[in-house]
Amino acid sequence: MALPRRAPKEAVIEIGSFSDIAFLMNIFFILTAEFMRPAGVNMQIPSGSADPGKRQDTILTINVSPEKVFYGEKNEPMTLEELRKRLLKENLRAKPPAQRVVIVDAGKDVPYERYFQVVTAVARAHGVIALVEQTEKGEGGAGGRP
Amino acid sequence: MSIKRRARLELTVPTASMGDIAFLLIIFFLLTTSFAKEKQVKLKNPLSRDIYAMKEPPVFVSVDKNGAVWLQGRRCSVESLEEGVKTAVATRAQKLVKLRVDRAVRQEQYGPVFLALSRAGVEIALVGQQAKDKD
Repeated sequence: MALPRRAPKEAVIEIGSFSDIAFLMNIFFILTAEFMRPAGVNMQIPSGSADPGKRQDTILTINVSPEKVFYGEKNEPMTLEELRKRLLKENLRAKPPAQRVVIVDAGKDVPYERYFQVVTAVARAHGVIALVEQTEKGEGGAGGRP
Repeated sequence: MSIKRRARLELTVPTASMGDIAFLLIIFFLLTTSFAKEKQVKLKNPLSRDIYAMKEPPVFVSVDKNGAVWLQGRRCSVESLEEGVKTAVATRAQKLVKLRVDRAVRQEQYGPVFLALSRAGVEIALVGQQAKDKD
């Protein structure tokens, strides 16, 4: 008696659940991704050593207190809006980088937001910001990259 | 004479390409996502009118409201910041570091951070929040 042959089983890979996995991963990425670009400015720091004597070579000094901004050698008090206008008048963009250096000197009690507003205003006016290192006596010295 | 009934058409939605679309979306997200390691550092961004949208720098430093310094989402001291930043940017073409500082932190805390970054020889990208009416 001839035995009936079994029909060979067809090998199949189940791919139905792949799309489910893919969509779950999509949901994960959508929830964790950050599409917002940060807002800010690039701060240019001049090269040079931390030498207080360098201050004479720079064109501008801005002293920052928690309430006001003091502009130039004469320490002229002004608001941020006035500072923006003044910096615009200086036309720093047209000057060579060495003459665009602005020292922003903040007292120890100045909150970061105040300093940030001054620094961003200077950066927007194409100023190159020189950092100030506070000494033991509280006197600042212009510093930059060593 | 009896009329033959037509066989009913079965309605089907072709879903075979859904998986392909999903995988294409995954590839897009994988290429564009940067996982936010710095989210754990809670701080309030300072406000300014003079800032604009910028490209996300790969290296970031944060100073939280207590003055604690974080490099790439990990706590570090101000003293070790210079070396840490130098190492982090060593393999990168762009020597740009994003700096986020809490708006209330005082100069005696953020001043040394700026100097350390300056000594590390990097360009600093200061990050804040766009203000409209603030002075």
